[in-house]
Amino acid sequence: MNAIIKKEDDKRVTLILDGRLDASVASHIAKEVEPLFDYSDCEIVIDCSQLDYISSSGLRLLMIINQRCRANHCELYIKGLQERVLDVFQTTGFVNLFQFK
Amino acid sequence: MKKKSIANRLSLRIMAVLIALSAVIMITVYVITKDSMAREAESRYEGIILHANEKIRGVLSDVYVAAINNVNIIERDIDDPDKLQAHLERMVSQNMYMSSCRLIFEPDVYPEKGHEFEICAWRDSGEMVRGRQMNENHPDFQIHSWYKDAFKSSEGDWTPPYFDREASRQLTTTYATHIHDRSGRKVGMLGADVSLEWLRQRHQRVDAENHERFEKGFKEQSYSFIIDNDGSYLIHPDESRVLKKKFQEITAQSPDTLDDVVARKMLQGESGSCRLQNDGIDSWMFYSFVKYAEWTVVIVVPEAIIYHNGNMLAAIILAVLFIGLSIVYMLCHHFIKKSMRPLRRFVVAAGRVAKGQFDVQLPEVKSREIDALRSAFKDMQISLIDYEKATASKAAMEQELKIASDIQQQMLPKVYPPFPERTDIDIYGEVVTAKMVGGDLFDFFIRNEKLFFCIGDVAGKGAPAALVMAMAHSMFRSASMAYASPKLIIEYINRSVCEGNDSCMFVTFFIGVLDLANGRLLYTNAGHEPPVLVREGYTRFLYVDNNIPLGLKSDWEYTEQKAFIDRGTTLLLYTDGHTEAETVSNEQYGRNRMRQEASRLAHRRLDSRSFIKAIQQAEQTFVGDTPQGDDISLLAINYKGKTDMKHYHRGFSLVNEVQEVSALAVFMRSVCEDMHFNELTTAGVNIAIEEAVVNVINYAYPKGSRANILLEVMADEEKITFKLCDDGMPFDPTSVKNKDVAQPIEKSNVGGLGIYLIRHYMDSISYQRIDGQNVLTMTKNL
Repeated sequence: MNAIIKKEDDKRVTLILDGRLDASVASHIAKEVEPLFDYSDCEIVIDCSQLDYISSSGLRLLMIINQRCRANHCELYIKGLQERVLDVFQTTGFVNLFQFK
Repeated sequence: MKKKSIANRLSLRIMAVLIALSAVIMITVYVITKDSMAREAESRYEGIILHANEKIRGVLSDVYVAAINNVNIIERDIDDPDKLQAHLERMVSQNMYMSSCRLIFEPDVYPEKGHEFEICAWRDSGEMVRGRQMNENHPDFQIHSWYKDAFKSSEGDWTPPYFDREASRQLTTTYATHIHDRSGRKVGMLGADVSLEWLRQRHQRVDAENHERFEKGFKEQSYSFIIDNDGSYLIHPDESRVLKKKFQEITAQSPDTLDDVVARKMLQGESGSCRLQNDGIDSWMFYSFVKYAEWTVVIVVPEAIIYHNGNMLAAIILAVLFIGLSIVYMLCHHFIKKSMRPLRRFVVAAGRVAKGQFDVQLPEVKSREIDALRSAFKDMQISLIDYEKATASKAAMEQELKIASDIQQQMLPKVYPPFPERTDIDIYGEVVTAKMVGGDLFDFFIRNEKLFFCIGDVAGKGAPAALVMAMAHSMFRSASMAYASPKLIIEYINRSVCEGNDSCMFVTFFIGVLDLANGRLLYTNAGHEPPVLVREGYTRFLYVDNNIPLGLKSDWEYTEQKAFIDRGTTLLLYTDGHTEAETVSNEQYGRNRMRQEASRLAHRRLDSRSFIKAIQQAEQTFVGDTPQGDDISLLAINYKGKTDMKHYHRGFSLVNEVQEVSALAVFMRSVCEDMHFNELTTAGVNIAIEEAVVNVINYAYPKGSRANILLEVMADEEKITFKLCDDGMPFDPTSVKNKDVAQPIEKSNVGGLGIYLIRHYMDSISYQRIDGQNVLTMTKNL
C-alpha cells in the first residue's frame, strides 16, 4: 500500500492511493498523508484508480482527510474509483460525502 | 643426531675446565722454568770457561814464578857457564808444566865457549829431563823478531805462541826474561817454554765430557777454543785453524755483524756472552779473557742445548698432565655413569608401566635427587592405578550411556516419511545431541484423525536429563491415548514429573493436537520456545501463553490455546539449542534470524525434510565449526489439508493486532478463489470479514493483552459460513442499531459503519456466547 502526494501546480495537488487500504495499513497511511494538510486554498484530487480495496478503516481515513482539507479551505475530489471500491462508497453512503471527478 | 650420555657430557665439561686450568698453569710454569733452566745451562758453560781461564792462569803463573826464581840463581853463577846447564835441568824437572827451557846469550859473552852460546833442557817423551849445549849450530834466535822485541823490552814477557820445531814439536809459548851480568848489563835471555799440548788435550777432554754429559743425542754440540790477543786461534777442534786463521777473519766472512762486534770486544779484553748465528746455527757464545796471557777462552753452545732442559720439562709436564687428565676423565665418566645407573633401571620400569604393568617394583636408590624422582614415580604409579580404575568405570558408564542413547533414539520417530499413505501431512524431525544422551525429545502420532505431537527440552544434559526425557516421553504417549486435550495431557505429565523430583529437574514442553480434517490446532505450551508458523508471505511465531515448565508445580493449571493452521502452512518446532547456537565470539543465532530464514524458505515450498535441512544449514553456516553445548531438535509439520468442496472446511487464526489483517487478506483471497467469487463479491466478503475481525481486535480485549482470534470457514453447495471466535469481553455486534447511510455522516463519526458493511455484504449474521467465547456466525448464500 502506497500513498503518493504530487503537486501539479500552485493550486492543484494529487494524492495517489494504490493497493489495499485496510485496517492493517490505515494508521501508517494516515502519517503518509500528513503533508497534504499543509496546503490551503487549493484543489486536492485523490486518485483512486489503483486502489483495489477499502474497508471502514480506509473510509475513516478519507473522512479525516476530507475534514482537515476543508478546514484549510481546500476543495477535495475523488477520481477513478474501481467498481468494487465504488460499491463500498455507495453502500456506506460515502458517495454523498465526497465530490467526484 | 645421536644424543650424548650425561656421563659423557659431564666428563667432557669437567675435562674442558681442567684442560683450561692446567694449560694456564703449564704455560706459567714453562715460562718461569724455561728461563731458569736456560740460566742454569748458561752458568754451567760459563763455569767451564772460567775454570779453563783459572787453569791457564795457574799454569802460566807457575812457569812464570819458576822462571823469575831461577833468574837469580842463574845470575849468581853467571861467571861459571858450566854450572848453568844443571840449573836449567832442575828447573824443568821441578816444574811439570814447563816443557823445556833455554838460556840464549848475546854473542861473545863467553868467548871461551865460542861466538854464540846457548844451552837448553827439555823433557823427552820418556819424561826424562835432558840437556844440551849448542854453540854455533843453534837456531838463530837473535835474528827473530820475538827475540829482538823481548830483548829490547825492559821486562820479561810471554811470547806469542808458536810451533816449537826444535824441542817439543808442540804449540808452545815461552816466558822470556833478561839475564844480567854482575855489572847489570843484559847479556842474555832465559826462556821457559810451556807446551800448550795439555791445554789442547784439556779442551778436547772438556768438550768430550760436555758432549757426553749434557749434549747426548744432539746433532749440534758445543765446542771451545782459545784465541790470543790478536785473534789467532791457539786451540780449536779444527787443528788446521791453529795459528793459521784469526777469529775476526772468520767472523768477517759471515753476513752477521753481531759476531764482528763480539770479536772486537774479545780483542779488547772483555768477558761476557752473546747470542748469535754460528755456522748457521742459533748459538750462545761465552767468552772469558785470561789476564797475563791476554788470551780469550771461548765456548760455543747451540741454543737447543741451552733450552733443552726447559723444553724437556715442558714435555714432561705435558705428558703428566695428559695422563692425569685421561685418568680424571675415565674416573669422572665411571662415577657419573655409576650414579646414573638407577636412571636406566627407571627407564626399564617406565617401559613396563607404559605396557600397563602399573605395580612394577621400583629400583632402590641412594642419591637424594634420584630418590625425589623415585617418589614422583611412585606417586605417578598410584595415580595411574586410580586413573585406570576411574577410566574403566567411566568406560563402563559410557557403554551404558551408549545403550541408553540407543534406546532413547529408538523412542523417537525415525522412519520418514512417517505416514506415507497420507497426502495431507508431511513431517520431518531430527535431534542432534550435544552429549551422547540428550535431554531433547519430540514425538508425534495420529489417533482418530488427529495428529498428537510434542517437543520438549529437559534442563541439563547427559544421563539424568535422558531419564527425565524418557519418562516425559512415555507419559506423553500414554496420556495421549487417554486424552485429546493437550492441557490434560500436559497436566498429567507434569504431575508425574513433579513426583519425587527432588533435584528440581524441569522440562519445557509443547504439545499440540491438530485436527487433520480442518487444521484446528489445540495446544499447550509449558515454557517452551514458541513454534513458528511458516507460510508464503506470512511467517510468524505462534502466540503462546506463559505457562511454567513441567516438574516445578504439580497443581499448576496449564492453559490450552486454539488456533487454525491453514493448509500449506508449516509448523516449525525447535528447542533452544537451535536459536541459542553460538559463534566463536559468543553471538547467538537467535529467534529473529531463524524466523527470517524460515520466511525466506517459505517461498521455496520445500518438503519438510528439505526444509529442516535448510534450516540446519543456515544455522551451521552462521556458527561455523564452533562445537555446540546444547542438544538441537527441529521438527517441521507441514499441513497440506484437503480441498473437499462438498465438506469445505478451513480455518485461520490471528493475533489481536491490526497488522494481522494483511495476513487475513491472503487467507480470504484463497477462500474466495476456492469459491470462484467474482471481484465484487470477493471485495465484499473481504470487507465483511475484515470489519468483523477489526471490531474484535479493537474492542474485545484490554489494551496490551494478546489473544488468538479464530476464523473458521465452512461451505456446502448452498452457502458459505464464516465463524469468528474470540475469548474477549462479551459483545454482540448484531445488537448495534443499523446505520442510516442516507443521513450525512457527521464529522469523524463513522462508528457502526463496520457492522453496517457486514450486514450489507453477508446474507445473515448471528451472535452466540459459548464457553466464554464470542461466536459470530456470518453466512453468504452461493
